[in-house]
Amino acid sequence: MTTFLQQVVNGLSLGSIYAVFAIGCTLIFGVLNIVNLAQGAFFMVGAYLGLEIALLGLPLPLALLVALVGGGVLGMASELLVFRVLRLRGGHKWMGLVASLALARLLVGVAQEVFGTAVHGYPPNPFTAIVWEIGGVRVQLLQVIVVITAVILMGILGFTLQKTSVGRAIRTVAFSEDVARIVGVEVGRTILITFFIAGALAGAAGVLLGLLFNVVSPFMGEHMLVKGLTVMILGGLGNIPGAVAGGFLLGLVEVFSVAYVSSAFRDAIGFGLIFLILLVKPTGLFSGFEERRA
Amino acid sequence: MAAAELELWQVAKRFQGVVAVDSVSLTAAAGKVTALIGPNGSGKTTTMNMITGLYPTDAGHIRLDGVDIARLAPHKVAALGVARTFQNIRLLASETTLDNVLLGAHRHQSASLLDVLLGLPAVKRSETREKARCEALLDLVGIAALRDVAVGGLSYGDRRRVEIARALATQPRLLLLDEPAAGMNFAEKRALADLVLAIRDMGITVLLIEHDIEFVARVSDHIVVLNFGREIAAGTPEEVRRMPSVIEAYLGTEDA
Amino acid sequence: MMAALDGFLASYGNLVNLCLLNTLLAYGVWLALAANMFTLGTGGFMAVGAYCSVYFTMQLGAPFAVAVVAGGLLAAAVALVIGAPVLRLRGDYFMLATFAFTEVVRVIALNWDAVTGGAIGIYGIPRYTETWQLVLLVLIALYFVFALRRSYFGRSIAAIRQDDVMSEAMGVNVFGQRLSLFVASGFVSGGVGGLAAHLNFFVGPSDFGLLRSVDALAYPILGGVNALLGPMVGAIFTTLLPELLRFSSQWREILMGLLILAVVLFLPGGAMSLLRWRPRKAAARRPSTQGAE
Repeated sequence: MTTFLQQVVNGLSLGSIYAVFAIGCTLIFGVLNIVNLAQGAFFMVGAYLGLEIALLGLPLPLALLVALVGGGVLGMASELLVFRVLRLRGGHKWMGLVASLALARLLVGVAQEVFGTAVHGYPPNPFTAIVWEIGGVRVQLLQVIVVITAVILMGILGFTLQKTSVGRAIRTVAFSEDVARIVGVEVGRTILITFFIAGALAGAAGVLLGLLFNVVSPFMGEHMLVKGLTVMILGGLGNIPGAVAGGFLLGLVEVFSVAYVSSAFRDAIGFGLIFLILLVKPTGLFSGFEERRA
Repeated sequence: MAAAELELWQVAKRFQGVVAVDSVSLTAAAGKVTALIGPNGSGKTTTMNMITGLYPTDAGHIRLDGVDIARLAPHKVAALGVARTFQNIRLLASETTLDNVLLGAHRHQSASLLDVLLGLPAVKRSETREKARCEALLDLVGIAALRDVAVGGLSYGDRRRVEIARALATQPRLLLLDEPAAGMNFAEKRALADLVLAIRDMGITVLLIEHDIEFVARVSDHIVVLNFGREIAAGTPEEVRRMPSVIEAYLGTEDA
Repeated sequence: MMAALDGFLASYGNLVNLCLLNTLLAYGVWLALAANMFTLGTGGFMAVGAYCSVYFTMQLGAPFAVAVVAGGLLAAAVALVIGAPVLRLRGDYFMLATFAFTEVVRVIALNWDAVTGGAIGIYGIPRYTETWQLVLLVLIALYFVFALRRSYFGRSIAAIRQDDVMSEAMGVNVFGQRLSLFVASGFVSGGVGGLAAHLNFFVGPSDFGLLRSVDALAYPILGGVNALLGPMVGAIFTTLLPELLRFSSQWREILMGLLILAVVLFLPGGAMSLLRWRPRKAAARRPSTQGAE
């Protein structure tokens, strides 16, 4: 039982980060029907930006904020420099995938050039030191902070999408660009904001994961991208509540399979399941939450 | 290659609960031109999509010379000799007129991949034969001169002709035309009417959807009127024209 | 003459082999792309082919040619099995399903120690792959694609790429043709996996992930899907360029990223569109009439 609860704690903290990252991926898909493969690189850059701030001795909330803004700016840049140009040219959807991966490659190269290829860690902070033992379950203050931060970020996003005019605009564009134009939504600006939000979430997720595992490297983005795509599939493409549920689910499944299943084939089972989900219920496990563009 | 008779019996289609076609029964007699008319949203194109296998039916039968085709994949329906044009013209814009029409000849080419790779003379012969046949069709629909022009640059009326030629290239027994006269001027419509009659005289059953009543009256042997997903009237052009229910449904009542 | 060639190959042999191998892969991916299948399964098929062929040569002592064909056939068989359900998925779901497939294969490779050597991979694979074999295979692939494109199959494949609903209505068996092409693509990818394994002395699970699949897609897309030589041009361009850029490996990545971006943004039809001389096409390039009412 203790092990079980311990895994729940570990799984929730990991899953909350997956959820934050995947929401960004799925948000872009919901609005534009494209996958931005550079999201993983934004995640990596966010982790480095946060690390630099932390190394300066500045407080971690500031590190998170800088990563948020930095990831968001990169997201906007990817829209302005790549996706918007491709849309205007009527380029094929494939081009967006190839281009976004090239952008990711570029950023990984820059990160290697600037920060080196070695793995870095965040400087010691008080949060890792504080650990509670509740009935044999170890809970780090850091884990609690990660989960709370992730939940706050998701809450802000949810509020923005549901209650603000920006959110309404995003939802309208996601429903149909033509309808959005007819009702007077500035489509270009709305798409730009969507990319900012997605990039910001990726950057924030980078700081959270960097803190939680104390590992920052130029190659962390690719790994995360695979997780993000997985969560997208679990939750259904473009489905935000689905991405939240899928993120936590993936975190829990990963942690539990390490604890209970012999590590061999654990990921294979996971991906096999995803494969099956795609075949049996391609709209994801949690479909029915949100209207999706046909 | 005799003309085929098409029979629909209480065919129905819903989309997520919304009834598109409630219950349609009609017969397109072999070797005749049958027109399907009705206001927008009355289920005409949905019916055509069910006949060609694009949408599975929810109920009813679709029989081609007595064979039920309601559950067949579109390419199998095509293989039985059903060809169509599309309301929104679906051509390969960057390809030439001839290449577009040759796609219709696809099902008459039987060379295997191995034959193709070995470059057997039979492959070339069949290609030459189909090309000649398609060129003759271009001549028939009156666009032989546009043979090597990319269709993206053609006029609306010419693109409709390419679609008809492509459908004919499949050597159909039943030809479905979805608003063939839309966007055509008076002269083009006259020429099209002659073409439809010529196609009928080649021994091909024609089922057409059209809004232009004059055009319909000119070419049709039989008219079926749809409204709200049901057939509300049927008969010869003269009969249908006199029916009050048709006038009301199709033209709308004066005070509406 | 022969001496000069030998000298050239001694200095640049690896690079030449790599270009040839990637060209072959590019045509394998083209087979899928030609019918609008944006497959991320290439990495998975390559892994299946690589491990299978290595098993044949090293464990069973089979001749090299048999091993490579076996690798290709196994990959093709896998493509046939997953193809039937996967091809029923719409565009993005197809892409993600093939991505999931590649990941499944990678993770199996990571854990099936007895056959794959697990995370460490397999070292000391004998080097059987030779340049002349690769040249021959590339020529065969080129002829195959050439003959396919100008036959009526080529016409129907091009039609499927642009409008599958219309093609189906014209009597083209869209599902059948897509499945055949997907299986053929799997065969070529698997064969290339086997050839690569016997060229590099080594196979490991990290050789065949998502990035491998996207790189493979980039070859024909960058070169141009509509041109016969497009995939080759794209593969050679992408392979040679990093070698020609004699900078630090980081700068190489940066410049590669920039160059690919430039091609994608400024040459939407791929590099081969530079050479195309069909003025009519410009007029024809407009939103095609797609989508049922």
